[in-house]
Amino acid sequence: MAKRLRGMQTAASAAKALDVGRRTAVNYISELRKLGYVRTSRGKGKIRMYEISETKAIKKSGTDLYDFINSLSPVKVHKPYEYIIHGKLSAEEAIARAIETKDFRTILAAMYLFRLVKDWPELNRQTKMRGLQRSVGALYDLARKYIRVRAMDKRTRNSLLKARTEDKFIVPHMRSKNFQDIERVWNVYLPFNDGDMRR
Amino acid sequence: MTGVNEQQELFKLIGRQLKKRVECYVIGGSAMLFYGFKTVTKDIDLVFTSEEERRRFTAVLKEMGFAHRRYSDYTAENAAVLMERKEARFDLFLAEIITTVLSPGMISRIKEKHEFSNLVVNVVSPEDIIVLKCATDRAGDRKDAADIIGSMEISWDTILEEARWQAANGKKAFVIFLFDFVEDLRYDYKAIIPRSFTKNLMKEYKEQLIKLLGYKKYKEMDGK
Repeated sequence: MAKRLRGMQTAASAAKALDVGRRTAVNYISELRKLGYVRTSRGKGKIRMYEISETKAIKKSGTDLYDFINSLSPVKVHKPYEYIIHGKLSAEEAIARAIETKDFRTILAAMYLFRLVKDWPELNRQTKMRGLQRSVGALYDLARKYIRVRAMDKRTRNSLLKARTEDKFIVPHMRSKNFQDIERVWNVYLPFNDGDMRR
Repeated sequence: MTGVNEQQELFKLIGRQLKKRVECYVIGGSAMLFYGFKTVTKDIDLVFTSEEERRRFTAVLKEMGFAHRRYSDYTAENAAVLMERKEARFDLFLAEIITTVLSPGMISRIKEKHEFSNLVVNVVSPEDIIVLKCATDRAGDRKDAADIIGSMEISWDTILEEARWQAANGKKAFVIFLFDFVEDLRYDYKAIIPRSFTKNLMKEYKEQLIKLLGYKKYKEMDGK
C-alpha cells in the first residue's frame, strides 16, 4: 500500500488512489503511520498532508541545513540532498554554511537569518573558519537595506573588514548591477540585484 | 554486526577525534542503513577520494582500538584497508571499489550528507548502491539489491548511464558483471526489472564482449 501511495497525499487524493472512501483512506494511512511509513505535516489552509515513503522513515538525529533555513526564512529553498548536521546548528553557523554552498537561492534565503544573529563574534568565527568574512560582511550590509536586522558590533565589523579576500565571487560569475557601493567596501561581488531583494 | 544507532555513534566519535575535516562516501550495507532498507550491516564500507584523508581516518580508528589488517586476496594498488574491533568492521576504499570507480556521476547523485564534527559522510543514491553491489559474487549482495528494487522505484536509466561511464573509463568488464548480476536478480530473486533496461544492457554487454574478446572469438562463443 505504501508503494501505491508513495509521495505527498491528502486524505482525498489517497482515497482516489486507492479507490475507497475518505474515511477508509484515513484509516489505512493511520495504519501505515503506526508502521513508520508516514510523516504528517500541514499544507495550505491547514490541510493535513501525508508524506508516504516505501521504506520506513528512520528517525534521524541532527538538523537538516535546508529545513533549518526553510523554517526561518520566507524564501524557501529546494533541497538538492539532505544535509544533516549532527550537533547544534545556530543561525550564525547556518549563514556561513549557506554562503559556502555558493548557491544563489540558498544564500538569498539565508540572508533572513541575519534577523536572528545575536552572537556576532560567533558569526565572525564561523566565517573565518571558511574564509568567508568579506562575503558575510557584504551580505549583512545588503540585508540591512531590506530587512530589519540587529546592528553588528564594531569590533566584528572591523575584524571582517581586515580579512583577506579569498574569492571575490560569492556565487560564481555573478555580479550586482545595483549594489556596487557595498561591493567596493567589501571587495567582493554580490550576486543580487534590487529586483531579487524586493521579491 | 553494526546497527543504525551504533553506526551513527561510531561516526560521531570518529568525527570528534579527527583534527582535520575528512570527507568520505558511504556505500553498501551501511548506506542501506541510512535509507532504512536494512537494520544491521556486517561492515561499514567507506570510499575516500584521497589517500591523505583515508590515512587520517585510519589513524583515528587505531586510537579507538581498531586493528589494522590488509585484505589477503586483494593486492591491487587501490587495495581496501580493513579495520576491525570486536563486532564493528570498516572497509576503507580509495576511489576504486573492486571493479568499480567512484564516478563524478555517483558524487553528484548523493542523497544525504551527514556532518559529524570533522567527519563528512556522503550517502550514495540507491541506484549507485545497486551498481556497486554488482562488483561482488556474494549472495547477500544480490539479496540486498533485490530488496532495494522491491521497495522503491529505481531509475534504471541512471544505472545504464553509469555502466556506460564505467566501461568508457577503463572498467570494460563492468557491463558484463552488471549483466550477470541483473540476470541473477531476475531469475533467482524474481526482481522486477524493466524489459527496456535489460534490452539496452544486453546490447551494451554484446558490444563490450566484442571489444574484450574480438569479433571472431565472440561469434564462436555465441555459436556455442
